[in-house]
Amino acid sequence: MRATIKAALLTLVVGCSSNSPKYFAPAKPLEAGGMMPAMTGGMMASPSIAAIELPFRRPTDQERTALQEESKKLGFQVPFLQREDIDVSIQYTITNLSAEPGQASVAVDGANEYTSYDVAAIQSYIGTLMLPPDADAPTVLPLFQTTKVIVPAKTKLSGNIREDDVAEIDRDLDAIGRFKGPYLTVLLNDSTATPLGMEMVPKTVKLPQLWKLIVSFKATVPMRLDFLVRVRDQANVLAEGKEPLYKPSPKAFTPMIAGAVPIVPPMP
Amino acid sequence: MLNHQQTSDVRTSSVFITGKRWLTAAAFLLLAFQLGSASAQITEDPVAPLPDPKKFAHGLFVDAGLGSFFVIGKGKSIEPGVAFGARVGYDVFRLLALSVHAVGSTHRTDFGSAPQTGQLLQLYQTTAELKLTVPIGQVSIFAYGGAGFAFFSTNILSTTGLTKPDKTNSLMFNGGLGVDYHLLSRHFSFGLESAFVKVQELKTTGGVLSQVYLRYAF
Repeated sequence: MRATIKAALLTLVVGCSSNSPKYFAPAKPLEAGGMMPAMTGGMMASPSIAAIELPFRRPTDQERTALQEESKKLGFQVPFLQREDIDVSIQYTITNLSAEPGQASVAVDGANEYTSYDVAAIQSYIGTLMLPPDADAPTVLPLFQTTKVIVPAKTKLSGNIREDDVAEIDRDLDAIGRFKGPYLTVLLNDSTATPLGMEMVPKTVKLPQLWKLIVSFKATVPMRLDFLVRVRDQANVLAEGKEPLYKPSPKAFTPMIAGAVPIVPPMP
Repeated sequence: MLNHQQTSDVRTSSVFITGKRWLTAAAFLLLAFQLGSASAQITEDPVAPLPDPKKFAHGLFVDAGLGSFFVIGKGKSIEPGVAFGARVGYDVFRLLALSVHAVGSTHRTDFGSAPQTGQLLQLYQTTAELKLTVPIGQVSIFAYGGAGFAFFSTNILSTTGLTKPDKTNSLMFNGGLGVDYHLLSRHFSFGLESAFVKVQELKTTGGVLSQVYLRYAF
């Protein structure tokens, strides 16, 4: 009885805390599984993509000043949207709409205040390059990808891209963006397990959190992805009501490809 | 001679002891008579004093309750949850009271296989209420109703269409019945109450709050 009362009180205290999450859903679910011809011949599953811009408010003048002062002190820019204050996770459900089993995977790209990473944009950029004749086609990886799962016919499968998965995305994007880490090394390694590719990142770095998430969904048979972005905002930076939104202009990430030259001059 | 004297001493002692016994017996007898005359005055069992509701404290009161809140209708995807309540009020008359009531309940969502399933959600209700009481001795039956505001801790319901987009507060109404039992103490009573709650922005029939409470009147 005492334990029940304790648990109930604890639940209420936790519930009443200001750490309540906010949820953001895409306008409509993603549908994938239609096959389209691949550039290399044959058929490939076409990904379906949705981007969600999280509605953060603009920093106040006081906050800007404080960030500038802290940046001067540390020797690198301190972001307004910091990973330690904002936790992001994604809940999803994959529904196999077809009468046969199929494979599906969910990938996440996105943008922080400094760098934007979008596989589709990177592939378009590579398309504008003339690669050396002996070079292999460059590998382009998403910032995060779930393992491919087999979804039986007419069934649903739920999953979760956890807060620590998104934290790894934050670390990787910051390392390859601001600190010019070798991007494949950074993306392929778990930075909590090995510091490979993170050599240039200062130990006191203040990690920027994603303000834009690009979720892409691939499936081999017709399937639907319903997802929900969950944000725990401990710094009170999510916009309330009609507050003006923070719209940073991050630099698009483009990989360095040795010997590649642009075919088309870049847009001004 | 010596033997005679010894016998005489024994006799004297025996007479003395016998005298003491008589005195003791007389004292017991007297006591017994006295007790007998006292018990003879009781003709029936003593009657427990009936509580006089007029002597119960009234005026400013507070109560604290524990119970459950569950949603009925379309919103059954909000699972029933533990509810805690507190009320501060004033008995304007013996039959009428005004109060302010706050209730918090915590719930888990269940939207089947949708990603909104398994999230925690709290509902906070604050209402101003009017209560009518019919006292029947120690027991009283009451009905109450009120209006106020409800707040959801997150916007999860808006992502499912159960509320408007990003709507986390709403006008609400409630109405309920209860039974109150007053203890022999002037101040304390406890009871059971149940109310129908309609949260205007929540696209569902309503909800039911049931709780036991302890009340203290100052």
